[in-house]
Amino acid sequence: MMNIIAIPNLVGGHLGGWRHKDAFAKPVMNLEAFIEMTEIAERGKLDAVFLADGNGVRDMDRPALFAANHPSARPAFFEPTTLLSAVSMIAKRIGVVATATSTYDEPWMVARRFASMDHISKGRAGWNLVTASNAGDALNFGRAEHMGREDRYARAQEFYEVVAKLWDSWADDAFPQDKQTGQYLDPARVRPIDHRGIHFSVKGPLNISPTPQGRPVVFMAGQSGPGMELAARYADALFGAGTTKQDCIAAYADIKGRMARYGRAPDSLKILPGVSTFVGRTAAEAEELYEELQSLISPPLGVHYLSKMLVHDLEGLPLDGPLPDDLAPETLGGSSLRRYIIDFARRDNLTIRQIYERTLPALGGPVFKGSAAQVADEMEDWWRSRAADGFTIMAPVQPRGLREFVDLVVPELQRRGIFRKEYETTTLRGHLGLSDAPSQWHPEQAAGERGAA
Amino acid sequence: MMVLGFTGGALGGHLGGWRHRDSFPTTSMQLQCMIEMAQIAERGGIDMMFLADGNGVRQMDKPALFAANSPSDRPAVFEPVTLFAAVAQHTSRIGLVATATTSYEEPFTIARKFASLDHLSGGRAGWNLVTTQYVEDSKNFGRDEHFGREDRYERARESLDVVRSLWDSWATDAFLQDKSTGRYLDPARVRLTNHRGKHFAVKGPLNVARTPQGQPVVFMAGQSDAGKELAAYGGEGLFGTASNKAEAQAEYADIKGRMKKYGRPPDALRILPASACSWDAPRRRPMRCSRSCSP
Repeated sequence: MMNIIAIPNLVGGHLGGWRHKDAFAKPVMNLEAFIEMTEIAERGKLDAVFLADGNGVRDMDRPALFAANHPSARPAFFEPTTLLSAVSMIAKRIGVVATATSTYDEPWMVARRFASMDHISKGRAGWNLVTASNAGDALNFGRAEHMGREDRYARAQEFYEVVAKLWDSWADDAFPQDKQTGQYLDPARVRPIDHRGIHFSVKGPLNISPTPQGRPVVFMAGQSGPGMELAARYADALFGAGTTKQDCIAAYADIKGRMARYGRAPDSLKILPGVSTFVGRTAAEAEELYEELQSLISPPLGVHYLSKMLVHDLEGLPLDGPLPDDLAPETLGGSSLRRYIIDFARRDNLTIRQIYERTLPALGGPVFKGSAAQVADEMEDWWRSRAADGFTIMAPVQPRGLREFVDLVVPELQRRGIFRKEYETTTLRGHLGLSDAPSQWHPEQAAGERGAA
Repeated sequence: MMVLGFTGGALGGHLGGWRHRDSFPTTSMQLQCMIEMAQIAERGGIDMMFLADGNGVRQMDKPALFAANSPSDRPAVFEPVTLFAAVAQHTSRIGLVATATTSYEEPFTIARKFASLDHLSGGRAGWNLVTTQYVEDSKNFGRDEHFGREDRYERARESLDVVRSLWDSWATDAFLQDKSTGRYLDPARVRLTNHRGKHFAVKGPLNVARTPQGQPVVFMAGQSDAGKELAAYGGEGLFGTASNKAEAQAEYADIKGRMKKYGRPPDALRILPASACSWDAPRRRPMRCSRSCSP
C-alpha cells in the first residue's frame, strides 16, 4: 500500500495561497481551522498530518515579503507538540508528526515531549528531527551564529542516539502498581542510560514509561549528503527527495542502498517525497486554480521570495535574465532546497522570473496537476517506479486543496487498490507498515517480532 | 472571592494514597484519570489544576522507597504542557498551571510552549516557574552539579524578564490577514526583545501571536528568601508552604510587604497555601474511573 501524509499548513503551500477566495479567512492561531484540516485528512484515511516548524520569526529584514507572509515563514503558530496533543483528542486515528530541532533543544526535553505525545495520542506520535536550517533562529538561543552543517549533523546523530536510549529506559512491565503489595514499580526493570558523549551527557532514565509505539516514529528530511546518511542509519520515514521522478528514483536507490551497512532492511524506511497537488474535477479546473494563484504574486514579491530562498539579493537584476554567476555554492544556514533550486535553474537555463514562477507553487518541488485520474496516475507511476513509498501532500490553498485531494484523488487510489479504504491499525507505526522499535528489554526478539506476539 | 486550586497528581498526596481502595486502579500514564480529575474540579468551580514537575527519576538509590513511589517522585508522568494541551480539549473553564524550570529550559522554548497552551485553552494557561530543587536533575542536562541557589534565582529572574518580553512581541492587531491587499501582517506592530544579559541572549520576537490572556499567569513556590523575593518581583500566584495559620499570616505579610519596592500593589499576587484536605464523608461513593482508565 502507498503511504500518504498531509501538511495541513493553514496558509497553503503557495505564496499567494492565503489570499485566494477559497482560503481560510483568518488562519493565524486558528485551532478550529487546524482541527478541520486534520479531520479532512482523517476522513481520507491518510497516515498522518505533519507540521514543519522553526524557532524564530523570519524575514523581518525584508518588510515586503514579511508583510506578505510566505508559506514557510510561520510568524505566528502553535508550538507543534502542544497543538498535536490537543488535536489528537479530537482526531482519533490519524498519526500526528511534529518537528523539533536537535540544534537548540535538549535531548531530554525532546524525548520527554514526544513520549508524552505518544502516550496522549495512544501511539500516533512522530518526531521530525531537523537541524534547523534558518540561521536567524540561533539568535533566540544565545548564539551569535548558526552551527555549521557538519557540526549540526554530528550533534543531530548523537542527539538522536540519546533520545532513543531515553525512550528505552523502562521495560513494558516496569509498573506493576500493585495495591496489595505496595509495589508501584519494579526497580529491576529500569536502567539509567549513562550517556557521556561529545555533545551531551545525560544520565537518565527518562521519567516516562515506555510509549505505546515503543518509540515515536522518526522522520527526517535528508536532502544533503550528511542528512541522507543519518536518515539511512536512523530514520523511519523521509519526506525530502527531489523534483523530478528521475531525481527521486536516484535518491530512493541511494538512500535505501546505504541502509544495508547499518543492518537495516530497505523497507524499514519509508520515503515520502513532498508534492504539491493542484486537483480539479477536470484538468481545466486545476489549470485555472494554478493560474489564479500565480497571478496573485507581483514580480517584486516574487524576486524577494527567490532572494530569500537563495540567500542572495536579486533585486535590481533583470527579471528576464539568468541568475548571477557569483552565487556562493554553500551558505551557512542555506538549506538543501537552495542548492536544489540553483541546480535546476542552471540546468534548464532559467531566467529569474521563470525560477520564481517555478518555485512559487511548491518551493521548487514536484507539482502534480490535473484531474483526479491524472494526479492518481502520476502518484501510481512514481510509486511503481520506486521513486517513492508514498507522498507528503502539500496543497496550495487550504482547506480547498486538501479537501479536493481527499474527495477526488483518494477514492481513485482506493479504486485502484493501492491505498487503504479503512484504517487497519491503531498506531502511526502500524499505518506506515513499520515494525516495532527494537528494545534493550527484548533482546531475544528481533525488531518486528514483538508486535506479532 | 477565595481562590482555589488543586494539585492534579493522580497518585494522591499521601504516600499510601495510591494503595487505597478508593484510588484509581492504575495511575501510571493514565490520561483518562487526568481528564476525569480536571472535569471533577471544573464541576466544583475550582480556579485551576496545578501540576508539579521535575526532570529526573528520583530515589533510585533507595530501592524500597523507589518501588513504593512517593507522591513527589513522579517516575513516569506526562510532560505537563502537552498534557494540559490535551486536557484543555475536555474542559472549558478551569485554569491549567504547568511547571517548567528556568534552570534547564531556554526562555524562548518556555515562552513558546506556554503561549501555545494559552491559545489552545482559550486563555487558561499558567506557568509555575521553578528553579529545580532536586540536584540530580542536572545530570540529565550535561551538568555534573546543579546551579547554586544564588545563580539559580538570578537566572530565573532574567529568564522571567525575557519570557515576558517575548510574550509581548506582537500587538493584538498585528495580523491583518487582508486578502485584498495581500498584507498578512503589519511589520510596524511587532518588536524585538533584543535581550543580552548575563545568562541569556535572545533576539525575538516570539513566533506566537499575542495570547488570549495577553500573558499566561506566572506562579511560583517561594520557600527560600530568594524565592520570596522573586515572587514579590514577578509572581502572580504563589504556592505557600506554611504549616499553620500563624505561619501563613507571617508569610503573607512578608511577601506582600516586599512588593512595594517593585511598584506592585499587594493585590497583584495571590497567595495560596498548600493544604491537604480530609473530611468525614461516610456516604461518599468511591471515586469511579471510566473504562479507558482501567489496566
